Amino acid sequence: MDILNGFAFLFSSPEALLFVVLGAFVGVVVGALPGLTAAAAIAMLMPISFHLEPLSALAFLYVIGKSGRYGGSIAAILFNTPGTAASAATMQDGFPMTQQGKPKKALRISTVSSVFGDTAGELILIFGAVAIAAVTINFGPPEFFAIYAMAFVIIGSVVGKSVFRGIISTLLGAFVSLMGTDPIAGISRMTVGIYELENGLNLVPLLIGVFVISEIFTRLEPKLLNEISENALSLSKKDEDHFSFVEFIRCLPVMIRSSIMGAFIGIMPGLGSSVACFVAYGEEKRRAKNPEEWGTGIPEGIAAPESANNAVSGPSMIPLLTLGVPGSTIAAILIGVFVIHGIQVGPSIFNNQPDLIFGLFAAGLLGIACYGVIGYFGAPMIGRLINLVPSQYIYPFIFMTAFIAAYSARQSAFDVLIALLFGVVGYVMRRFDFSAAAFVIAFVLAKGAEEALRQSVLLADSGYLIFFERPVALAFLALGLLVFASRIYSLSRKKQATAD
Amino acid sequence: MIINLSLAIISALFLVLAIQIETTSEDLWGPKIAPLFLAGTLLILSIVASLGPIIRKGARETDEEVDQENSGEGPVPFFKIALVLILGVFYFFAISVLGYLISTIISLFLILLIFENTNLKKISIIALVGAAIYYLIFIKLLGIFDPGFKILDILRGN
Repeated sequence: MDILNGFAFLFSSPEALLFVVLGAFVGVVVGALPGLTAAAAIAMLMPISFHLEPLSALAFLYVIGKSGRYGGSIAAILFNTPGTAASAATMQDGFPMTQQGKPKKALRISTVSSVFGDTAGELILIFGAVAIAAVTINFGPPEFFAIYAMAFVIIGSVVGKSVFRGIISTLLGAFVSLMGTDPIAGISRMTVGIYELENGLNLVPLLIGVFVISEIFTRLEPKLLNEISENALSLSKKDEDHFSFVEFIRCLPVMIRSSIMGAFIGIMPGLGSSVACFVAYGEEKRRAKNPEEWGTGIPEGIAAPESANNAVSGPSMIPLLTLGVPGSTIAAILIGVFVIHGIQVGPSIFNNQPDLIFGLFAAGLLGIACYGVIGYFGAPMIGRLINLVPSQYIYPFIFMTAFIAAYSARQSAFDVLIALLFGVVGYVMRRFDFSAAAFVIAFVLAKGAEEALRQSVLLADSGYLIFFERPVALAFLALGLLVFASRIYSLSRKKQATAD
Repeated sequence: MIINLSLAIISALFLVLAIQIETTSEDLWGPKIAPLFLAGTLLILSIVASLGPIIRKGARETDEEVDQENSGEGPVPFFKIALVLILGVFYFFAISVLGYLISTIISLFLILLIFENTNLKKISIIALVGAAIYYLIFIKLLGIFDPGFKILDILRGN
């Protein structure tokens, strides 16, 4: 069993173990801070990971991604403010349960469901990724270009609220990533005479700008400056009502179904936790015998979204590890960490780096256990601490950390300016509902897509027609168009229904 | 409308940059093809979006347009955002002149002020302690390069 070797590899490194525990704690705390996502935390801490061994670095950031998704539920349940978009559906029943004087119970349901969903997703990743990689290892440049093209179309059309703005975000992200020296011809492109752009834009300051500095700008809006302290409920109330075993058994089918839904959504590029939590909540409410009770603070209303949004985590790594194509923002950031440590991501990784990759899976499982323990016993205390420190003190420190992280990635002051510039870009995108996630994923994908396109054309006698001669490539392109068309169709039906 | 026009201008600039990419006689399109396609598509989409309301002139705004123009809630804190940007640029220059520690103390103090913290004594202490922690983690522990306190060298003309 490769996963047992992975555990052996992980436990042979005390540093990696330490960073798994640290990652679980950092993720829970950052996820619980309203507005800050796991992706933002990873972006800020990415430069630190450059100083670590590959397994420690990847395990640290991967576990932050997992625990950050869970941490978002703390703010959703206690403050009626989702820590992350992925926990927005948890508010529906989580906060009413807190209002009933049962915050600890709500947090424990959330913890158990998150651990359940995340473990299910991780197991699907461990067993599914290897099987898929065995097939995709035979793909050539035309198939890879078709997969990139499909990912662009799907991410652009499904990530945001509007297809138009999603596509624009994708195109913008792809364009700015092509600035710098052309990887095939070695020609300098679109650098406007700026020497620092010769190697292209660095991912770290761009991420920090889009996810962290733009959030700082958002937090400067008057309505958000005192948000937590205004929404917080008293946590000092005695809470004797625990999540009983009977309730757990009652929630178990909900958790199983929601985990499967979340895992399936996780495999699809672009569809993330925020989609999974609402799909699972809506579906379970529809199936329930008591739909009128949903939204009033029932355990199933917390179990469904929390199982689903955490089940996304593992499967969202499948496109990255089997195709080298990140399907989520966190996977897009992790690809940067792989590259920094000189590791080629793709199906061959299971042959070339089996210890590392199964060590990472083991770290994921251990990380789930760690944040489960932290959350089960410590979530109320973390909530209380966040409530104690006003956001006017928290966000200046986040700003400084972001700034220093942007500088320290390459020890380049130019990167600090890039972070500021993309902070403004990210803020404008937020204000006008453009998709920052689509922008970042496209930024990461574009160079690989361009290389695959040009390699395909160089290798083929038929030029661009090569994509129509390869059935697998054609199938991926058709799938992308199908998803795009169905999204347009569903949006037009929704608009028509609203008009009626 | 404004956002679509801005997008059209940015896309046009991108297109100019893409057209200016130099190519070799053996590979006329290679380095250009992807940037040209992306910038061209961006320009077409943003022009279509900008012209949409004009073509439908006289008609009431569609839900989509209303949604687009009113996205985001509440007023934009332009002044504070500008202050943060200025602070960022200040930090950028200060690091190379005052060194990491002093520029972090000043910047942390100023950002705390921007976030409406008015107790000067309290934020001074927070800035000092916070900067010391950052210094320990990033400079001492992680070994990030600190340009150092160069102001005296500059004043001496060295």
